[in-house]
Amino acid sequence: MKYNKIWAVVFTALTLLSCKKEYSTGGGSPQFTPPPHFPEPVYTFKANPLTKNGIALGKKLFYDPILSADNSISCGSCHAQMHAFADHNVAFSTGVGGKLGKRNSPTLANLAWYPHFMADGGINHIEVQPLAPITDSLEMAETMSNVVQKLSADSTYRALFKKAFKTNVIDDQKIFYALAQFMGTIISANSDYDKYINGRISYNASQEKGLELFRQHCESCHKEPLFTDFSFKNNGIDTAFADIGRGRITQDYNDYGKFKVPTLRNIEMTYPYMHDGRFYNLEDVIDHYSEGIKESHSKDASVNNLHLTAQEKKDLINFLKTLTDYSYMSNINYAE
Amino acid sequence: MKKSGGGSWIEDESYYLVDVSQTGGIEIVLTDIPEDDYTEITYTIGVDSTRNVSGSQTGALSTSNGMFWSWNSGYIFMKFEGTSPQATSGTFAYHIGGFTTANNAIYTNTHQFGTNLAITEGGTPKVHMHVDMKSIFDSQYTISVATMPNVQMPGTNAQMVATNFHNAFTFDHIHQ
Repeated sequence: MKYNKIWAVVFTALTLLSCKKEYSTGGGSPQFTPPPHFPEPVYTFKANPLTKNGIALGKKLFYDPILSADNSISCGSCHAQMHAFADHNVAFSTGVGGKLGKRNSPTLANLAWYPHFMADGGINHIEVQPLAPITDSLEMAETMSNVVQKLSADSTYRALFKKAFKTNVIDDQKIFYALAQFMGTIISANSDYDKYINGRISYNASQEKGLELFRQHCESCHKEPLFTDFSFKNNGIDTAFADIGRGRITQDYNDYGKFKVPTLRNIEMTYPYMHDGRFYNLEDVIDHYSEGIKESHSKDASVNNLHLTAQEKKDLINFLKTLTDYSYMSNINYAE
Repeated sequence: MKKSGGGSWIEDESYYLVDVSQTGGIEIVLTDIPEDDYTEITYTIGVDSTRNVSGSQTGALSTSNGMFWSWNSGYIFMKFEGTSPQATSGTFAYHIGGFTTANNAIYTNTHQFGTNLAITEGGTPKVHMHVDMKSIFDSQYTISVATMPNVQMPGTNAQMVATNFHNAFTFDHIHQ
């Protein structure tokens, strides 16, 4: 009888598992649970099965300056958890040798839902995203073959790669797999907005009004619940473009001055704003959309001065602040 | 590889990176070809669009080879760099690739052997190909390092160089 009971429990557990969508085929405990109010993720870890050891290795690599040419800068140097994985409130990040980057370091969250990466969308897959900052001469200024060499010479890393991928051979693919496992499992979905959407809290009157204004004026590009539709738009910040943005990728004049619509999740923490960090606070950003829109050939037709009242601006900002997710910024699983 | 009696053999995971700057780098060894008589070979210069959008790859497609654009995802199919007094800066660099419909720079070449290439157990026949790099400058399009010293992203210029480059390949002879 005892044995029968145990079997019954095991079968129930198996049935439950098979009903759930599977995002991992590997061993270990998968740490990827898409929030119920999110769409289907783009990256499902199919070719790169999630494991506890894979995620742990990715985290170690993310915070290790060994990825940079002079072992001085890690991914975490410019993607700080306390700032929603954006840089420490600077317009441009400092790379190897004190060189300054050319675009504002973006927040990292919900990357498994991203169809492309970077402000110009030039990178088409989460696994090859780290190649850009690692090899960019203004960032980590390293080569992948050097990274492979340095990691292979380190017995701790050899053991960690063996644990994660069952192989002694460290190559760029395993490095990218590990980083994708860590970065792809960083989820921000526990802000007051999420609690509100899931019926766990109510908004105050100003936040309610802010959400209403947001849905009226911003939602068409900053689509809930990821707060971006991942399209490329010229939001009227310039008449001439020092950085042509999406145009650099497509070489299409119509795309000059367009940048990826960024997520607004944790926007309170990721100042300064825009691709070049020109606006230092949310008030400046709202003022821009209210009365600062500049005309140019590629400016989006939907972007026009909103002429908001002072109270409406406050309401919008009060709503935007409900997108701050403190539990994600203090989640020990993501911490150095 | 096309068989004389019909049908063909296609190699799995058939990706090769030929490094002409390294001795011996220009010999490609194919193994486990089914025994048969073969009349022609078909190969692609470039990387199929699927592998350009499928994340990190290994072997010939590893990013460690420096043949992948970091900022504009996609494989560099061919790198050709050098010095020339005609180039304003003294150097030229052609990094050619492009897999989207608009920027497609992928070419497929087929060469008939004119005779049968017999694959037998233990045999090591060789197919000799010639690549005339001059074609890059003067086959279908006229390319000049004076007016176009740098092509380092997909687009019309890359397509022109790719067109010329695929013309550079000719079949010469077989060693049975």
